[in-house]
Amino acid sequence: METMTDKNRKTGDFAVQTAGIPEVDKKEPVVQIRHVSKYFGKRKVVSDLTMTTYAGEVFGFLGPNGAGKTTTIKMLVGLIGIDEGRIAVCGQDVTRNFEKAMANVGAIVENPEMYKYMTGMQNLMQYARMRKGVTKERIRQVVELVGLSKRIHEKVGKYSLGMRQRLGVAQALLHNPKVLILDEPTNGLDPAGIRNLRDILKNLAHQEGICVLVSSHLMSEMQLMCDRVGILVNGTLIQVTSVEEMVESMQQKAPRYRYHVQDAGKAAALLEQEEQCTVEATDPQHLEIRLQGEDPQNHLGEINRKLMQAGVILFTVAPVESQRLEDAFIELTKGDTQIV
Amino acid sequence: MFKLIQNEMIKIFSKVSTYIMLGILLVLLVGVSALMKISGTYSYSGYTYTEQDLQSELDYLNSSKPDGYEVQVAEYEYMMKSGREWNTDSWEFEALDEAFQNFQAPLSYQRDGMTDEEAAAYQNNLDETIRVIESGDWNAYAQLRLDQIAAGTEEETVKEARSFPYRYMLDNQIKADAGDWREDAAMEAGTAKLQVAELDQQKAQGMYVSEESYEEAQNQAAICEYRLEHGIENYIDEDGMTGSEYWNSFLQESMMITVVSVIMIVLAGGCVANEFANGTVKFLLVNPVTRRKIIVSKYLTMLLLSLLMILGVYVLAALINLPFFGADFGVPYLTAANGEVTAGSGYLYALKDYLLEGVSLVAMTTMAFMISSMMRNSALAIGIGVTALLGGSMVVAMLAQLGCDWGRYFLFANMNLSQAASGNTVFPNQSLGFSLGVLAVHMVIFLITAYDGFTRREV
Repeated sequence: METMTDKNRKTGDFAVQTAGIPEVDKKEPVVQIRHVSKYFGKRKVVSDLTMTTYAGEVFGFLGPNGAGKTTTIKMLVGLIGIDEGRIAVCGQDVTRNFEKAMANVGAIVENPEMYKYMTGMQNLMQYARMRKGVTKERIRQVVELVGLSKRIHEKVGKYSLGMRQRLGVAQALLHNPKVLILDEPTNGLDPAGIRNLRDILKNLAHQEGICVLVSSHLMSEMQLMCDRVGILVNGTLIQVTSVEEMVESMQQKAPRYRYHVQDAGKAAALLEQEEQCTVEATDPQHLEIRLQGEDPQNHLGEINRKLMQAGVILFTVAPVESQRLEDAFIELTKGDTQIV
Repeated sequence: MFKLIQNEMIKIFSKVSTYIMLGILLVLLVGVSALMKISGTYSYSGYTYTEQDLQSELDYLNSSKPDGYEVQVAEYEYMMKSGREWNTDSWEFEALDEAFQNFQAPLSYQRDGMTDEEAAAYQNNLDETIRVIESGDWNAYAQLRLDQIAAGTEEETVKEARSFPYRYMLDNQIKADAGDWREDAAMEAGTAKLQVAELDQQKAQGMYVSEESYEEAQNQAAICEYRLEHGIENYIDEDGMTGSEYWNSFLQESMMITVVSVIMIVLAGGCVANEFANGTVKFLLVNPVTRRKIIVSKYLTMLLLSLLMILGVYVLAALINLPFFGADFGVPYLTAANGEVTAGSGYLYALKDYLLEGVSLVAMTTMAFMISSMMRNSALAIGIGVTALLGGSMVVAMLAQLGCDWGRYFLFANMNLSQAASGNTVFPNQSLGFSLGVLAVHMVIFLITAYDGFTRREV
């Protein structure tokens, strides 16, 4: 049973910030999700989700498959109904004021499927007619922005996936939206395409002040693209944090370093005597360590000094950058994934 | 809303398949006109009796002796004796036939009840008539007939009706067998007038006369006279029949609306379903436009397109038939009520004819649209739509035959509005109002289902 206070809370004013969400200083809230739940039959796929995204940031929705990322995005753009709670874009309720809310939204949900029998330009014209204030000049601008100027008059059926994704972005940007929503934007793109898209999105957020909301299960990609991430597991938002904070917190817990030495066996023998240090030898010249101590920075300096003194020939030492977020993610979702 | 409809139109006309379907429609239109041209060139030119024909007819009549064979025998014997050719389509043959009916028949059957003088008078009349016919002078024949009718003992109105064609043709110097349409019209008018006069007589004698057949004869006479008065060779009658080859072909081609129906069912069946099949629906629905507006504009596009296609076929049929049959613009649509003739434009009549065919088109298009929106499956929508279009009336006809009166509540039993208006319906308890009601209920159900299917479903 729902109590009175629950009800008040759920229909509460969007202007009031909900506690528990990290504030981004003096930034304009764009997407406000309040206590949103969604059921597919009896199964609760999104459960009491509350969060806010702001202008000028790239926000990443992270979660394993089936966590409710796409469902949340679909509710946000009105493709499916909201069972409980409310979503507003720029203060306009998505359900009650659909047209006004969507006037500020540009979106690609799932695959960038356009009318294959039309040219890219004809497709854009379709969407331009459905939105207010899109000029010819604006169309030219977005086409240039996504780098499709040369092939915009070709049939979309001939486009590669990357080109269609970019056409999708162009479509989403036509009407100068305040928020750009991309569901799994890097799916099926090659590394160059991903990099290209990343640059476009970052530029839009940081230069143009648009709020970019992306979802992905590719953690490493999110790490490079996003300012903040929200981790979604089994329909519950378990953490919203900036990417730096998250990486830092993980690094502080147990940072990893990779050594390139002349004789890995000799170095390993030395390092194994060290306290609060786990060693993994990978090959005769490389090994990785994990420092669990309070002050890993100083500890690393100490270790290096010892190695030098012992006559180990040291070529390089580097922090292991890759998969940091992945580790954080897996750690965060470890307990819950078993329920899936 | 206008821009949404524009969008839908662009989608439809960006597809190659649309042009293929329209191309097939055009080819069919031209093909039907060509077929009408080929089948229409056959004309009846009568049959000329040979001596053998006459002999075998006589043998047959003499051996089987059917009712009234005596007059026929006398006529055939005369034809053999005359030694000239008799074509069934010539005025001479018709005149001869009439003379034998008028003068030989009383001699054959009522000889016992008449005096010798009376019998001689009949014989005289017959001989004189045959002589005039043999002379080949139609004017003399017509004059003789007028005299014979005037000398008769019938009612004035009957005499008047009988003499009408002869007098009209003599007055207007119309030659018989010269292919003048006025000859046929005058003959037809005479026959109708005679029927009216005879029915009047029966009424006066207190006999029962069917109002319907009386009015029919009266209207036919009025139309014939109207045509003669206004010099109208060809016209379109109430049933859409006409002597003009151009108009016949033009009106017949309203059946091409069935082909348009199939095209519209394909378009309506894909209209919503294809957005789902191609995944484009997600891009369509994230626009700042409510689903209500999208589905309504999609349906309005279908209605607009239906209307445009019907008008297009109408104009095309009007034009395509020109090179085949030549221009024949001034053909009116003539109807009569209580002996008063109303002349309407043939083009307006044809337009009405085409638009009435559009009723079933719109009904089937709406049905396909509903299935498309509800099931999101274009193949299913098109399949059911075309099956219903072609099989619906068949099922209804079967139900009517089996006497299942509830069949009249079916949509398919009510799509022919011109039939409903004329009272010539499949089921006895149907009227125009009933049909419109059934249509309206079906359409409302289709539209609500389509609307609901589109606006409430989750994508």
